[in-house]
Amino acid sequence: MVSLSKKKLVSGVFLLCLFFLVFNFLASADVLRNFFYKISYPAQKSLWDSSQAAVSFFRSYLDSYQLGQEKKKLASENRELTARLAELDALAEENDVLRQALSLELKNKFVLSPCRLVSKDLAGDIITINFGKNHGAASGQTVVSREGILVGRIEDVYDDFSRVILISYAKSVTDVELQEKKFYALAKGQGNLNISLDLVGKDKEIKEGDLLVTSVLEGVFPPGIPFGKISGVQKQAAASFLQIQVKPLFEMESLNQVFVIKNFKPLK
Amino acid sequence: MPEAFKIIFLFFGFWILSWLEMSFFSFLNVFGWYFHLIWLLVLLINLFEDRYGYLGLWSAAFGGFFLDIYSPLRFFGFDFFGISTLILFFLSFILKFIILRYVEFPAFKRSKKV
Repeated sequence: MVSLSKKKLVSGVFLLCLFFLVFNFLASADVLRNFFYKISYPAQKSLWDSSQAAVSFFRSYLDSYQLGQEKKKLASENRELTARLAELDALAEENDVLRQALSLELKNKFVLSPCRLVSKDLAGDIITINFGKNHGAASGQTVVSREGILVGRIEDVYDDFSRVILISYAKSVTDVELQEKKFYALAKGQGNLNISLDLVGKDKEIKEGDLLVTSVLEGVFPPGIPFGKISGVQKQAAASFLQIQVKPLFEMESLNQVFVIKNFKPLK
Repeated sequence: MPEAFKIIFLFFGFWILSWLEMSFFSFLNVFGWYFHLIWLLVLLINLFEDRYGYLGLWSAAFGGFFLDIYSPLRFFGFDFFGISTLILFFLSFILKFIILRYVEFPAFKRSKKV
């Protein structure tokens, strides 16, 4: 029994390997993927929506629990916060106006195609959108959020769907510009929606909250699109460069609809 | 339940599981670690099914197939369709081999009446 099943298994594995080899070289897996994506799209769409709702519900519950614990601390800081809030309100208003202006600018400058997010890959920061060859998708096209924030670029294109590599994908490298200080840096994706900033000398003045936009140097993304926010800066004596962490400006939990820029051709 | 029904059930089960993995479980991570449901289930089926059964191998084939569809692995910029299936199939095969050869589960046997 054991020897017979061993023979069966070895021949089974061999046949499976042979099948996949032939399949990869003779046929296209993209057709098969597109077929399965198409069948499962309605179910995946509703699952994605309900997952987002569930996650934001649990998050708000956790947040309210934490807020309850910090009530005493907040009460003592109330006056200072009220003063700061007034300041923040003015800033938020200004931010909204700037965002809207940016989004309007994007809409005027580029041809944007709306599409929906279908799923997110666990193997890396990759998402699937319902925008494929049939809609005019091509590899390298830029994907932005509803607010005009950079999300990533299209990597694999199927007939009705595409896979998008997020800016935080582990092998993604983007040339960015610090908006106010006018210098360039290299943003490297670290996975799990984390990005680090490379090759920034210690003499540069960078602080948390500084805004990064895409630069004109690389030509992969259109210049001037909001990229991320500095979330941490460390100076180490032994290192010759600053260690900087960046958070993307888009929020995965509220990312539902995205836009593909159709009339920008990347240089690479 | 007949074996054929079990296999069909596994196919649809892994299909639905892959949807869940790509939606709900893509939001849940603990210190950056995600719950890879398909890998976990394949491992559990292989560990706890009848040691002479084939359901573990079927589940590796289905789980790997749906991972290849929905979450293709990239090597040197090329995604080879079937790599997840082969990896899971190989792991299941190794597990089966180890369990058959080297693992003896303790079992209570009824002693003969004297």
